[in-house]
Amino acid sequence: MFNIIYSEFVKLKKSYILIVALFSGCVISGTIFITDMLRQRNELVSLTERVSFLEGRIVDIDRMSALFIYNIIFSLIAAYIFSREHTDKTANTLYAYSAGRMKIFFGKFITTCALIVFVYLIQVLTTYLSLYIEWGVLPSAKFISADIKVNICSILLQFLLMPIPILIANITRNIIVPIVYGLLGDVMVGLLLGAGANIYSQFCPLTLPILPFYHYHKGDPIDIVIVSGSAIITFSVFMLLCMYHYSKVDID
Amino acid sequence: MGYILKTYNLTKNFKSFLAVKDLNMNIKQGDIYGFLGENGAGKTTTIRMIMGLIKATSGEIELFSEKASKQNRNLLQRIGSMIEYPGFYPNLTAGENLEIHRRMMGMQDKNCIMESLKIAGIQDVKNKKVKEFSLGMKQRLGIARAILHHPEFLILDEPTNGLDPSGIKEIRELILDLCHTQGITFLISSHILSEIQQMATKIGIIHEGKLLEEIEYDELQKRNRHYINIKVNDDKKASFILEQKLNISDYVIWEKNNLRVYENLEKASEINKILVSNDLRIDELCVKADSLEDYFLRLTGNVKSVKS
Repeated sequence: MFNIIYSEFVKLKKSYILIVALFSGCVISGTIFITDMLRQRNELVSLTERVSFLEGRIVDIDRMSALFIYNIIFSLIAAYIFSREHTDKTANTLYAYSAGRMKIFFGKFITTCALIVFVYLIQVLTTYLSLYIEWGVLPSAKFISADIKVNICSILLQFLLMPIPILIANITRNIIVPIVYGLLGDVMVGLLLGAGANIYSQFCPLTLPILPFYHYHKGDPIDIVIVSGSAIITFSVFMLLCMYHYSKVDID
Repeated sequence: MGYILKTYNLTKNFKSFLAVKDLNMNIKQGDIYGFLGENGAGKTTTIRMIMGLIKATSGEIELFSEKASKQNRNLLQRIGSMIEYPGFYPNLTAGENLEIHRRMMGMQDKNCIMESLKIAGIQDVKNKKVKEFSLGMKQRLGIARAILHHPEFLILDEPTNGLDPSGIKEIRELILDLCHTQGITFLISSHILSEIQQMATKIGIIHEGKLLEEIEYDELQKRNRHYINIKVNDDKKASFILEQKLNISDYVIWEKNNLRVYENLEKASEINKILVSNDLRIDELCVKADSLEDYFLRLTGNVKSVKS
């Protein structure tokens, strides 16, 4: 398994996907940093005001990244990792190794998850760094700790959604359709969460990775039964479909 | 000598299309097995089934005297392959591509990368990105990858595609060398008959999914028919004379103004005399033996003999 994951990372070397991951991790924090710099918020003079403003900014960046960026980018990453064997015509070699298809599947799945963690990490680091550069202070330790926990929750929920774009990529064998799925997903999530994390939005699995930000930072209530049920059902169904398709499909 | 590969009634259907039907293939250790067939005959489908890339609809595959199955994928470690197109990760160098293969094959020795590049004659391009390679270079790299883990059995699907004549010769010599010095068994699929003729020890001819014939090359040479090759200025008139005046019916109009007579070989001079006396110009008249191409075309029904 180690060799499979290592090989997946070697394949990512010098590829555009790492640049895309890096960019997507800092695009929202970077944009907010630049716009805030241009606005010159000199009115926030007291430390308490600045810290409170900072915390609000961090929550905004977290939510905006999860709402507008992650679904598309993670679909692209999953599609790239899973479909590139067909676009590079390396499938004949990869699936002829003695390592079974399931091992290869999980190797690729773990690599996808690792890139998701990488994007989150970049986003958190650039957010704190840019805001510190701009405002010269950091939020309270309590807030940082909560924010890290919320991000970890969001990451884990992202993992649960990954079988959807993976299945689409494996069936279509390209990256376009999964990106379209990501775009449509973003539109749907935007519409559902426009008025906050209401009960209806919790039924939609695509909102799962964003819900922790609303719940912990904004205090929106979450129905644990609905959310857990939605997460478990989505992951189980799509993961089983992925594994079935991956093990049965003819490589041509 | 034991069998490296045996298939038992191997069949593959793609919905209603029958790609391979009841294929029984036998490859012994040390063979260079030429797998011949036209484009779309079922060669690549057969190879894909052997390598576990597609599932056979029915039938069995035996590799190294063991039944090939999902539970027995370790057998694939003893096989090297290059199927259809030498696919590589274009943004990586040749060395990095081979490094991935080395890891996936569980090879400990890092020197095997350089060794295989040397054998394929491309040791100078180890650090060059594959996207800058020509198709011929990719073919060589594909062979380097196939032999990197010292396989006992090499499956090469159209290995000379995209190679220039000198490249084709080098690959042929490389295959013969690997077979003779390292005892590697080969399965080489091709539709270029002249290539296979120069290396194969055994021939399998597949046509429309069916393995029409499997024959040792020596046996094939013995079996190939001898004929009088006659080039004339008017094939219709010549065929009329052959039938009416010489009572010859076992002949073929091979190409325009080129006939092949399969009987009365000892009467070549008499045939010559009669054709000339009937105002036909003879450009060539000699006794020859069927080539692999002739045999293939006859077997696949692409040449219709006058004699039924």
